[in-house]
Amino acid sequence: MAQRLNAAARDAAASRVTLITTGVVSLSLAGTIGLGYGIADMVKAEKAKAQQAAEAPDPQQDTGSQQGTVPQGQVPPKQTGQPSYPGTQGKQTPKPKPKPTTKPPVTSSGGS
Amino acid sequence: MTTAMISGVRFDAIGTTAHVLVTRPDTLPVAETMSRWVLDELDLACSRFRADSALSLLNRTGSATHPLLAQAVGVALRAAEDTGGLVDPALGSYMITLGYDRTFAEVPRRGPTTVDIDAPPARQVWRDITVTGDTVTVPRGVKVDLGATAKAWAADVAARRIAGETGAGVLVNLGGDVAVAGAAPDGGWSVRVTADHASDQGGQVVAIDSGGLATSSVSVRSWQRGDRRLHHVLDPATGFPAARFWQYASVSAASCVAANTASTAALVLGDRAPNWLAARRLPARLVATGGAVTTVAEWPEEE
Repeated sequence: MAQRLNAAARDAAASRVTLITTGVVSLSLAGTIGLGYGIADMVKAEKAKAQQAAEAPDPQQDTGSQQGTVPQGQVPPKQTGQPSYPGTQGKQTPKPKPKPTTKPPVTSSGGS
Repeated sequence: MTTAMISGVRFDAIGTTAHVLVTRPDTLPVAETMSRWVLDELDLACSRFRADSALSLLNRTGSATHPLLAQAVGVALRAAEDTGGLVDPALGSYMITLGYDRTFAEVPRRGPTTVDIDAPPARQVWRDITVTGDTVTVPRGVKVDLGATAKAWAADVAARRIAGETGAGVLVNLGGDVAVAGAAPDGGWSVRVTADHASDQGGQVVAIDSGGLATSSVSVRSWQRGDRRLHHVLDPATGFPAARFWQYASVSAASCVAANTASTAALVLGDRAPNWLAARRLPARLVATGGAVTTVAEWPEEE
């Protein structure tokens, strides 16, 4: 047999349902907005990457202006159309060049 | 560039020495924790010498699923592709036959038996290694050795992650494979290039502010079987250690793994190395077994 709730219990139950519904709706909204921002950021990052790739100088086009001043025993760069290298594929960052220094070494690169 | 007080920590990992430097001393604890974590994960994924690693499973069964192993094998295959197979990850069984079948610290430096092996097949079997998602599959009988690329790749990963997390300039040196990330100190990171990464003598000191610097050597990780002197850089054409034309080769590149791939290839190429490196515009310093120095591309002159 059905039993009637008293007024206070009914109001409390209705209030809990309202709270739960509000929570679910808020979470859904937050998730949707968060996802939207995430996608927007990914799109921005992809666009920036594509733009950077398009603007980066082609390492193969850099002809090495110091060919006439290379030290004895040094092999100058050549333009041979060889494939690019891991980490330097295509139009990515130019290859960094080590520089002379008079600072004491902070570490050593050698065989191990 | 940044004016900074460089602070560092050194510890043993993956059978070598890790040296981590940061431009902000307050970030060193985070840098050390992250480095140790990366190296622990790398060891569990890619060590040839621990039975519970994903690589050991791959070498036992021909297949293994592990995200880090899949990435590391992908890096190794790319290095093989870009060097036309000069840096070959499929020579693990040759390394074992030659005696490098346990951690190098445990490899007897001398043995009575002269090693005899058949040359690898002309068809480069690394081309038959596949990576699909997180799963790596190798042809029957092939054993993978990631020694030429995994350490350098880990240095790149660790340096990049630490710099991203802390905002500091970072240098990670794993057994001589040096990766830098973030803002370098004023004048760059000064690094000695020499035959042995544990040495603070000889060679040349240069500065780098981005990418990586790696040195491969035939003199440090070497041992003897019968009358044959062996080392860990194998020539894929013969399956034996590369001829000792260069004592060591140092290369600077956009990443540490690119630098180490090239320095390893240089040892395999012998006298063809300078032109090969120059064609790729990779600054390099090659020291012949007799001590003569050859520099390539725009490697700086000795001070």
